[in-house]
This record gives sequence, structure tokens and C-alpha cells, in this order.
Amino acid sequence: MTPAIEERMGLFSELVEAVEADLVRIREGLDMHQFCAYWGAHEIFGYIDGAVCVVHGTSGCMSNRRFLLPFGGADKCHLEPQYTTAFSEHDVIFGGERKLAEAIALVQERHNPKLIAVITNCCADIIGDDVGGVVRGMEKDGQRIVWLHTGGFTGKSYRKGTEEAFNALARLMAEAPPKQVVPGTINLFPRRWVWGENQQREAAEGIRMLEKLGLKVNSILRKGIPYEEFLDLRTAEANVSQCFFWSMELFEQMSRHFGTKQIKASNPVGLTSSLAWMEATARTMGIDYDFDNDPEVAELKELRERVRARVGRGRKAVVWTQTGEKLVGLVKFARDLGLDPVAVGVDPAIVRDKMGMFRKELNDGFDVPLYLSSYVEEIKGFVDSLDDPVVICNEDYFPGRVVFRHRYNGQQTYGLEGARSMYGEFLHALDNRRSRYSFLREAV
Amino acid sequence: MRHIAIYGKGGIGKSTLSSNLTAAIAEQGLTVMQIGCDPKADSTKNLTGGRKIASVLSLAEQYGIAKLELEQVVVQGFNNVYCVEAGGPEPGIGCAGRGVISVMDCLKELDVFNELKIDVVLYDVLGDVVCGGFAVPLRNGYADQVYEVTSGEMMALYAANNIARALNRFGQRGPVRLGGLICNQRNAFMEREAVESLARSLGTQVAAFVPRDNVVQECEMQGKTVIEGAPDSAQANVYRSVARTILSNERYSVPTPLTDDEFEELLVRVKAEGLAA
Repeated sequence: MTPAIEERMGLFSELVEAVEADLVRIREGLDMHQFCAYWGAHEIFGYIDGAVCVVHGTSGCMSNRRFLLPFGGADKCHLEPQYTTAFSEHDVIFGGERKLAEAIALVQERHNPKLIAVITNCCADIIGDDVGGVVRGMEKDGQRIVWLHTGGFTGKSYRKGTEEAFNALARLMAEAPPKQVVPGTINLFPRRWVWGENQQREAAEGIRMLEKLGLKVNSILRKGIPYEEFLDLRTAEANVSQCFFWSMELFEQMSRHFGTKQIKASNPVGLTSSLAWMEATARTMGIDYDFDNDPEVAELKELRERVRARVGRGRKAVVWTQTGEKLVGLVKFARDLGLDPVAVGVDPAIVRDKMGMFRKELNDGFDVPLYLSSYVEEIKGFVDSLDDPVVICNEDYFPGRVVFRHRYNGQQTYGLEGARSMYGEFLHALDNRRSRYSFLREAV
Repeated sequence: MRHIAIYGKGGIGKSTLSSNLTAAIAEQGLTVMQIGCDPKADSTKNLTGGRKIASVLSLAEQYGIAKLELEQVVVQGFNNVYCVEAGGPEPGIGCAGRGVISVMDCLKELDVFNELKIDVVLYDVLGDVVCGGFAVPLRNGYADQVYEVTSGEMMALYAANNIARALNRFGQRGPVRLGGLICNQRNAFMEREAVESLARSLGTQVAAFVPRDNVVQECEMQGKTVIEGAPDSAQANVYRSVARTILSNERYSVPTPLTDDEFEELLVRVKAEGLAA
């Protein structure tokens, strides 16, 4: 390792603490994965069947929704009603409040939905339309209208948008007539940003893991969940998520309003993390489960040993991914396989945005060496300085190297079945280095 | 073609001064257009018999801005001066600054200045430069000469210094220059000295002192400028003189605005000098 590389080495905890202490100059707008609060809120309200989203502002933000797979239309015809006040320059000058009132009235007339969620984009927020003032008093019997200012120019991130939307929904839950909590039941917040069969597989695996523990799934937060069912999430004894950080705000609010237990394990990627997820759930629910005598677990341990033997213990792994939870999940997965991981390409902006998650992970004992650079040339140089590492990333930057480029969106990843899938894919990656000449793989 | 912008604190008398200057310039045989850049849309009222003309934005609301014709947005007033009102939203809603941008784009699209062979365009711009929209006359190749209307009162001087900040910024990027301050006298304590002192600090001149005269209000009550309503009055001659000064002015500068502390010091000093005298 050259002095130049050593100079950029550190610990992930050091970066988190430096960001926490505001010692890092963070350039804004670098995070390609984050979109803005508008998108975060849109995603959450988009889950609920019987809710109509009204986008107050220009139409482009909403139009793009169709073309972003996670937001709908990936595997089926996109038929959810969507409305926008479609600002013109005229509306910017004179304000769009009247148009918003008309849009809400139109939605009421056409759909009379149980929930109308008004979210703004930058245009409406910049001119300062009084959205709350318009919306107040427009609710009809049996209907709720919520509104959020989600213009991204304020710096509100995607995460912030999801939090605010969950907060608004938690308030609706709290205002609904009280219901009894059913002991031994649990809500599952399954893996998101996946679709089609894989979405079904991931959710089914989450249910299977919970049922293995003897728990009854109360409800699954999924696209198309009816509004009443969403409100009835509060009847479960606990909440568990495959992406805990994403759902954390709702978990917090439900814990505060209804005493719903929250299981703080996340990202069950690989056997170690999957078992940790199940153990945390069992512990919180007061269940004594004998993992040592579970034949499925034993079988997966054996498979993992085969992968470990093939990988070679202590081999370096370079983990490069842009999003926070995946980074933590993949570092843990690398360790699950006996690899010695180093994280690269970590954007301080993500650390700042997801500080709550990283702080929790650090408090739980997580840490990893870090090579601090966002430039592919430098990361290539770092990879070249290591002795035949395994690169875990989702881009084709490393021809000639062993690259574990798991197809996250199209392949089962979470839980025991996910571990099986990941191990199989990993063995395949070990035997197939990335081609120097094309994106296709070639045999060594 | 000359593009002259008049800026100043709200209520200082910009519209009164602008419309009298417009009328006085027209008397010299020049073709003049006055553009009111204020949502109130009353800048040109005294040039059109006391009646407010339809603003570009109100017409745009009715017909769509892209469909407007030159004849709709421009109204001829006293002595054939051309009048345009930008207009804007009701107070507390929408974005009036964007309205100014939109209207300027519309005028450009209609090529009004060339079509009407305008010699002098006078922009009467709302109060302080509150956002980028109201600074449009200072950039995008519109006004290149600016006059700030003030009095000797502190808040009017403060606004003048603030506007100088915008002019300093835009002056470094483009051709816009400050032609001077115009003191619309309110007979404030040490008024002349305060305005002259600020002008010196800004690196400009006092282009004119306009005395207070009741004839201005009398003419406004009739919906007229002084040039029209009392053409033989001393006040009319003052406006004619200011118009000549502006048209013959050769002293322009990029102003050097004061910090808030420097501004306070200047006022304290002038006041102390006045008390000592």
C-alpha cells in the first residue's frame, strides 16, 4: 500500500464522528440516489390504496414518476389516480391556491378517496402558496386530507420526505378510533425498491422467517395496502422491517402512540445478519427459538463453509455502494463469508443524511476500514494495491477482477433463502472474472 | 434608444416623478414609453387621465401571455406617450418578481421598442430591489441608466443605499450604471446635506432636487401630470429641468454602497453637523 493510499485510509467511525461534529465540508447535490423529499413522500403515500396524491406545483416531477420503476408501473399497468396542479408561469405569478382548491374538489368528485395527500414540489414552495390554508376545511365526511411541503430546494432529502409522510400517517392512526393490540402479531415492512416476482419472494421470505418463530403476521406494508389496513398496523404487538432505517420514523411514532414494539435489526443479508434479524425479533417478542437445531440453518452453515473455503479466509473485499443500509449490509455479508472488508466511495452527504442509522450501527459495534475517495481512478488504484481482492459493487469498473455484482433488484437477497441465493451467486462470481474487453463475463 | 430605470423606496414619489419626466421628455419631441413595474399597476395613471390601464399580466390572465398583441399591452396617453403596466398578483400570493420577468419577456417578444420607434424608455420599478424579478430592468440588456429617488429621511436613504448594492453587483457584470440620486424633498432635517453626503459616499451625484409643491397633488386629483395640468407652473419647469439633466447627463458610475455601520455613521455625522450649526 503506497503512502498516498495509506493517507486516505481510516475507519468508518472516524468519518461518521467527523460528520457528526460538522468537521467535513460536504458538497451538496452529489448523491444520485437520494432524489428529494417530494419523492420520499410520494413513495410512502403511493403505497396506500384508496389514497390519491395531489402534486401541487409543476407537472414534471409527477410525470417522471411513471418512468422510475420503484414508484410504480414496473410490472403492471399503472392505474393509480395521480393529480397535479400543473403550474404554468401564470400560476407562479398569481399563485396556485385557487387551482389547488379546484384540484382537490375534482379529486373528491371523481374518486371521493379516504385519503388525499397533497405534496408540493419546489415551484409551489418557492412562491409560498398557503397549502394548509387551502386544505383546511375541505375534508369531507370519512375523508382525511394531509399536506406536506416537500420542495427539494430546501435541502430536504428523500429520507426526510419519507419521515414526514410517515409522521403524517401516524397522526391519522392516532386520531382514528382506538383498537385493541393483538398479542403475538407483528407487522412486516419488507424489502422495497424491488418489484415483480422478486418482491413477492422477498416478502414471502420475511413472512416465513417470522412464522418460523411462531409469530403471526398482522400486516405487510406493501404497494396497494388499503387505507384501513394501514391504520390497523397499530393493532400489532410489534413492527419489524427488512430496511429498518427507512421505516424507523413510523416505528418511533407507533411506539409513542400505541406502545408498538420495534425490532431494530435490519438488512438480513447473509446467514449471520439473517439470524441476527430473527434473534432480535425473537428476543423482543419473548420467544425462545433454538437456532442451533434448525436443519435449514445447519444446511446454510454448511453451504457458507464451502463458500468460505473457496474464497480463502482473510481475503480482502472492497465494498462500494452508494446507499447507507446496503453498505452496512454488504460489509456484514463480506464478514459472514470470512472476507476482510474495506468500504470505498462513501459519500459524506449520505453519512450526514442517514446519521441516525450510522450512529445506531456504531453504537451496536459496527465499524469498517475506509478508503476515502469518490474517484473511480483512485479506487481502481486502491483495488490494484491489494492482493487479488473480491470487489463487491454494482458497477463494471474493475475488468479482470473478481467482482461480486449481485443483481440486487432482480434477485432474492434477504433472509435465509436470500443467503442461499447470495452464496450461489458469490461462488459464480469467484469463477468468473470481469472481462477486460466487454461487459460479459469470461471464464478464467 | 435610452433605457432609464427609476428606483426608490415605496411611497417616495417614483411614479409621480416618472410620469412627469415622461411628459417632459415627450415635450421635447422624443417618443417615450413608461413601463410601470409594480403589481399596483398605477404608475402611468396620471398620463392616462387618472384611469388605470389594463396591465400586461391581467391581460395575460384573460388571453394567455403568448397571445397578447402589441396593441393590447401598450396604451397611448398624454402627448402620445406610450404606457405599459406590468401588473401582478394580489398582495400575499404568487410571485410578483416573476411577473416582472414575464412581462419583460413579453415586451421583448413583441419587439415593442423597435416597432414603436421608442427614443426613451422609462421603467418605474417597485420600491426596493426585493428579489431577482425586480432587478430584471437592471440586467438582460434593459435599463442601462438608473436614477434613485430618495428624500432626506432615513429609510429613504437606507433604501437608496440598498439599491446601490444591487447596482454594484449588476454594474460589475454589465453596462448598467447609476446616473445619480434625485431628491424628492420632504423638508426633512438636514435633507440636502444628507442626500449629498450619501451621493458622495456612493460615488455619484445628486442629479436634482425636486421641491415639494401642492400643485403636484392638485394635478393628481385631476388625473394629470403637472406638465399637463399646470404647464406654466414653477414645478412643471422643475420637471422639465430634471428631464434635461437626465438626458444630457454624462456622469455615470458603478456605486460603492455603504455597510450598515457606515450608513449609520454617515447619518449620525450629518445630524451632528446640523445640530452644531
